[in-house]
Amino acid sequence: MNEVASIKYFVALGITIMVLLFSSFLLALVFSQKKKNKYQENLRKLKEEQQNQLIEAAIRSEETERHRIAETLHDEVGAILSSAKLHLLGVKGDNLSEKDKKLYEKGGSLLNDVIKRVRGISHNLHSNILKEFGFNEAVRHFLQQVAGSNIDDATTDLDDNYQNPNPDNDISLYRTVQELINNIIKYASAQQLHISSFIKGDKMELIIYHNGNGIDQQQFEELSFKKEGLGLKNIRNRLLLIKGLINFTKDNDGYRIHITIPYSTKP
Amino acid sequence: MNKIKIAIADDYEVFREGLIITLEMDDTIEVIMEADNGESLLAKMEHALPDIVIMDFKMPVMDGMKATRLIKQQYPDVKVIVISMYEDEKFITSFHECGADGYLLKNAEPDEIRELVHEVLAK
Repeated sequence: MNEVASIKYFVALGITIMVLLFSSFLLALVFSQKKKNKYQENLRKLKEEQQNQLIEAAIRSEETERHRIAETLHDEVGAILSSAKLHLLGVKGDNLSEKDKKLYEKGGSLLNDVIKRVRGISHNLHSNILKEFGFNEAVRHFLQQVAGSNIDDATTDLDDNYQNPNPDNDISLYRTVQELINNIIKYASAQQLHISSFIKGDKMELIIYHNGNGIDQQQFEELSFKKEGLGLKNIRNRLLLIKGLINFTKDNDGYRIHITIPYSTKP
Repeated sequence: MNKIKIAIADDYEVFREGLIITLEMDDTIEVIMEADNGESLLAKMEHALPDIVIMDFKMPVMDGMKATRLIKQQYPDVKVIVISMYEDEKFITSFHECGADGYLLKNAEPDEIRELVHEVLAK
C-alpha cells in the first residue's frame, strides 16, 4: 500500500516538474520572441529615421540651392536688366526714323517682358511670403502668379485657422502644392482650379480640384516610380517627411487631389 | 538756377549707371555722389550734402533701411527715395516707417523716376 502511494507520489511529482519545465520553456520562448520583435521594431524605426534624415538633408540642400539661384536672379540679373532698360530708354526717341523707333520700342517691351519673367522664376524658386505671411498666403500668391494666363477660373478657400508656429516647416507642403499645380497647368489643360482646406481635429485636409485631364491614384503610383516622374517622386518624399497622405480621385465633375497632414498648434 | 543734387547708393554699379543716365536726361538734375552701401554713403555725406538720396533697399555692410534712419536723424532736410526690386507690401510699409519720402521699383519707367524726384523735393 505504502509502495503504491509512493509511486503515485512520484508520478504526481514528475508530472508537476514536467509541467513546470514546459511552462517555463514556453515563457522563455514567448519572452525571447517579444525581445526579437522589439529589436526588429527598433531596427525598423531606426531605418525610418535614417531615411527621413536623408530626405530632410536632400530637401534642405535643394532649398538652399533654390534660394541661392533665386537671389542671384532677382538681385544680380534683375539689376542688370533694369539697367539695360534705363540705358535703352536713355536714347531720345524723338529723332529716330519710323523704322528705328519701332525697333527701339520693341526692345523696350522685350526688356519689360524678360524683367517680369526673371522675377516670376525667382519668386517661384524661393518666396519670402511663406516665411513672412504663412502657408495660406503663399499658396494664394502662387496661384495668382501662375494661374493668370493659364487657367480662367482659379480660386482658393483656405481655412484661416491654419497657423504653423514655424512656417518654415510648411515648405514641404508648399512645394507639394506648387508641384501639383505646376503639373496641372502643364499637362491637364484645366479651365477650373480650386484649392480648399479645412482643419478637422488633429488633421488638416487640403483639396485641389480641377476639371482638366488629371490622373488617378493608380497612375500616380505608377508615374511616381518611373525615372521621369521626378516631380511626383519629390511629392512622395516630401509627404513621407511630414507624415502626409495623398489620394487622387476622379469624379464626374473632375479630378480631386486630397492631401491630409497632421495638424497641431503646438510648436 | 541750381540743379537738384542727387546721391545714389546701390551695390550694383551697372544699375547706378542706368540710373544716372535716366536722371541726367532731365537738365535740372545732377548726380553728385555715388556709393555702394549705406556706410560709405554716410561717410561721403560728411563732405557734401545732396538734396535727395536714392537708395537701394538691399545692400551689403549697411542696408537702405538703416541708412535711411540715420540720414533722417542727422540730416532731416535731405529727402530719401528708396528703390528696390521688391514689390511686396511689407517692404513698402517698412520704408515708410523708417522715414523715406518715396518708393520706387527698380523696373520703374524713366519718366516715373524723374517725376518722383521733383515730387519728393516739392514736399
